Amino acid sequence: MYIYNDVDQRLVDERVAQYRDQTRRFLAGEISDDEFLALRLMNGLYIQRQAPMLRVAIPYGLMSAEQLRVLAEVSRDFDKGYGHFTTRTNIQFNWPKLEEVPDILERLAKVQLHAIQTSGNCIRNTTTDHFAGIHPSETEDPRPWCELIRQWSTLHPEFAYLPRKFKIAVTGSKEDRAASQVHDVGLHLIRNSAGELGFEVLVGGGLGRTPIIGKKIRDFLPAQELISYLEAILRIYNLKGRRDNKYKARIKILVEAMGVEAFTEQVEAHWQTLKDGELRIPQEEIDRVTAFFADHPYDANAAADLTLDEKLDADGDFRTWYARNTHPHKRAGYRAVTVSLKPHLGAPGDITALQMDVVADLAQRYSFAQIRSTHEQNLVLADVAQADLYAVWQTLVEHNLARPNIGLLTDMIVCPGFDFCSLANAHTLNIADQINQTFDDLDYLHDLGEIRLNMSGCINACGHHHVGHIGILGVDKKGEDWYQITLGGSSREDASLGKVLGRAVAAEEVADTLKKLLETYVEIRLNGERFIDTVRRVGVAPFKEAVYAVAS
Amino acid sequence: MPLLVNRELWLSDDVYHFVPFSEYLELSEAEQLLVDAVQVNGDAPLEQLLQLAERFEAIAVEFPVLRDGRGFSFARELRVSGFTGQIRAIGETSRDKLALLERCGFDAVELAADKFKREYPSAYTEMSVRYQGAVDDPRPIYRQEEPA
Repeated sequence: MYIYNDVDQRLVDERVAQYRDQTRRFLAGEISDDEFLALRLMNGLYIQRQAPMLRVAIPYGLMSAEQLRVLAEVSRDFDKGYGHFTTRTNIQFNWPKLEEVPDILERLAKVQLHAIQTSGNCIRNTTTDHFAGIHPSETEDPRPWCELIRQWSTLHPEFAYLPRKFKIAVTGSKEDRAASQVHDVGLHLIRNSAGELGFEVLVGGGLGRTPIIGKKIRDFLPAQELISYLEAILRIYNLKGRRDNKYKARIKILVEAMGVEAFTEQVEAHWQTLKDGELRIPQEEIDRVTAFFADHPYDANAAADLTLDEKLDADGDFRTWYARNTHPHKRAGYRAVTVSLKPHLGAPGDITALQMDVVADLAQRYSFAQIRSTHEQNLVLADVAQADLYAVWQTLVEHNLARPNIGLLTDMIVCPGFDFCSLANAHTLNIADQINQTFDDLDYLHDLGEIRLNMSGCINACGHHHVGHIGILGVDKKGEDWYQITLGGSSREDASLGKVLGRAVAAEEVADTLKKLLETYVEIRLNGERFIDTVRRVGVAPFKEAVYAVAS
Repeated sequence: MPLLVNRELWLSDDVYHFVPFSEYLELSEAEQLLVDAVQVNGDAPLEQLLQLAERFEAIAVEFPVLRDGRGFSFARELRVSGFTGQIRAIGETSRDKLALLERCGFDAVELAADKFKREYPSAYTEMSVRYQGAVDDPRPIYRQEEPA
């Protein structure tokens, strides 16, 4: 992974000192609330329902064991002993004290972590495929490009006060595990027919109030011009994006309003003035950054191990976990392991300090001391030799991190909702519990197969409900929590937005409604057909009938 | 109102009379000749401003509200197109924007009296690392020489 040089380290150290001074001046009454709001948001600090919330960046979801241990330490020393992983692959602490945040940042900076631009109207953490660099079908590793974007976007003087937040996702594979089509900019690393590296560029995707699938504005951007092209997009957006209404300020609205052709023309015209200039990334720099993501020293004989098969034969629980929570690796004898942060009756994405230490230790011992966070709110140990899987599993089981539910109904993406978030209209965690209680039969869950269930507590869609195979949106109706259900969404390469099933259901009816939906699916699915494929084949109607027929 | 020019505090009276650019465009040619400074905000027609900029000694770019960042791109575009006169930030400026403004090409900043503090020069030096190319130094980090 990328390791800071002196310059990178100096930047985060200076940023800590700068933020410490900003906090001091705010507490001394020298900065207005409004002004400090913009400054603290650019450094990841919200004031939430219960307390401030600090969001720490995990750049493109990659962290070291040492970093995860420090995150555990921070949660112990400054918070309530846990953290929450988000769909931007960052981690949130829900109970820090405003005046202690500079000390937290100082602790984080010692291990090359920061909270820069994890919030505010600026360029946010770039996200990518959580199997980057290891997936068998990958074209090219996107992480070096994510790092180049991280550096370019960090404290960019021109783009610190954008119309609204700005999110970039990069993929390096035909499969899209980064939800790139619902990002402000989606970048697909590809090779052209001449074998040159470049990007397919999408702009204007997003969720929130106005969910839109991103539109392709360029088939092939030479990779060295990545920064110049992003700069062109951002400049047009900064100049033309709406400033009068924050709900219409995202770039997707600008692209819709101008029309994608006109928007593309402006970007391309401006890019002509930038390309082949200073911003072009020299090959030496690409090589320098890429070298940080070189293959680990894998054991060439890892596949010769015979113990895995023995354990798989002997232990059914292990077998289930192996099938569900481990994934193919480009090297024979290795697997990627998903650490489930979706336990029975636990807040999805939450992790305790002890669990962080446990995962850090496992990474240290078995996975080259690296951990990834996924936008689906789990962790990944990406490089585990097959001979070590059983030991890893045993430890994960001991710490409630091995629920074999990855990709299943209970592997829900859920925002913290009304319990924590001051934007939320409805609770989400109680509904997640209700779903867990109703669907606790593992065999049934496995029979249902792959289902992406995403839930948000408000229209801002942090829980990505529009792109869930099943989406649940909490709404407030005269002071009561109600839930609107959508079907047929996907954030993958076949991205689509879910369609509303019908009128919202009451809080206590959510799990029962899901039951009806899933019974209908089981009834009408063709052999081996996934839930999403059935919905796509038959539409929403049969599901709607099953849910509303009796009641009305 | 305190005015910083090239990081220095100016106490003298303002030497420019800024005419709103929209009003300037309505003037007769003869009247236009008398104008040496105009004022714009993010709504102004940038292309037209860039075409006419060489007529002016100074251009004031207004930040009407705290969150409006269009002025940063205005200054950048003016400088890159060759404008060498004064570019002054007015409106919702603040100490914590000084370094960003300078990097984007502003050489003058009007600060509200209550936002002005004697230690303002530290605002320019607290961040020494510049990952991006900008107006002050067009070289991104990967074209800057290694620090000694």
